[in-house]
Amino acid sequence: MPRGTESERHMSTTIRERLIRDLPKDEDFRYEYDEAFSNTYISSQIRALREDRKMTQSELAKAAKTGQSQISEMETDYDSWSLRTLRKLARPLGVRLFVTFESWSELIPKVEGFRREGLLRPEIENDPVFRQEPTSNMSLAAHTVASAPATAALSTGVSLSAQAVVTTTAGASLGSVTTPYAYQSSSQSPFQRLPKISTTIDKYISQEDKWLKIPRSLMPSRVTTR
Amino acid sequence: MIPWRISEFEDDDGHGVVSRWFDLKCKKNKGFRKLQIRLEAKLDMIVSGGPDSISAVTGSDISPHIDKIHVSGRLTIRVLFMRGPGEHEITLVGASLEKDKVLIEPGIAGNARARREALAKGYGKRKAYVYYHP
Repeated sequence: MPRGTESERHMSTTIRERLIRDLPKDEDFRYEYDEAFSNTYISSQIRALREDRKMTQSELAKAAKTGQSQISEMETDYDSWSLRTLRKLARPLGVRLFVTFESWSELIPKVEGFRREGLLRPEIENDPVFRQEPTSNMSLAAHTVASAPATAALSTGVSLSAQAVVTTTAGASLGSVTTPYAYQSSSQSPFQRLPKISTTIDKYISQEDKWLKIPRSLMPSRVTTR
Repeated sequence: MIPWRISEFEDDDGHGVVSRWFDLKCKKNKGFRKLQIRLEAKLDMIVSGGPDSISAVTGSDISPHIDKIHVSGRLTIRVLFMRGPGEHEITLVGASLEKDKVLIEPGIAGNARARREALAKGYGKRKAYVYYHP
């Protein structure tokens, strides 16, 4: 058996077994352990995100309106976090802050799965969900349309069958990036202009409640029901 | 990802130098137990993600081959370690209280260097780090 695999199994079991045995035993122990883990996690995440954004400590400090020494302290070993300070860091790092209370069992996989790569988060410009590419547009627009009331779809002149195609398209694009549009397999489809429509739908959806104003000129000229 | 192994230098009596240091300190000051638990949370993170994944690890001025783990509470301690001697392994070679950014444990720098050298040259002993159990 390869050494790494054996080692991996052994070490992983060791952390899990030890924490399952020790965390319930002593309240002081578990809070002390968790505090150190949480503090080190957020410190490491700040450093990882800053380095990923190719920012120096001084640049981050300036953007967050704080001092370089405080960034340095926070990245090394810090235990006096305030939500206000963390929120100030979130914006220049291009991420959002979300704080929750957790159960103790959730700590174990967090420790076992701790990796530098796992600390990184994309900025909104690099987040695939928000990328302005046809496939993503289709997915986003189609998902939203598919979840909208059928009456709304009818009032736009888009039939329920069209909605069904959009739904299928959404499923296809979520399932396979290499086949962005499911309907492409049918050259006779009346929905050949669908990508254009979707782009328009997407545009209107982004303007909140204005998406019903899809120009009729962009609608398929002939709609068939499957 | 291959987990990292945490070892500690073994003294002549067969004790790990860092777990032993904590045991001795805890007899006089219970606050050291909290620091040991905090250290162990960081060691577990190193096991999972490696020493470069956590920001509490920094270089030391003792040697370019010896780094330190920052552990703070009411007291501030530094745990010194070297990378290796095995692959995906770190070995703890000493621990000390720090005051005004100076390690105050007598002989800590020399001991850490000597222990590293012994391990690097193959005559020093090491053992798996002995965790505290409540």
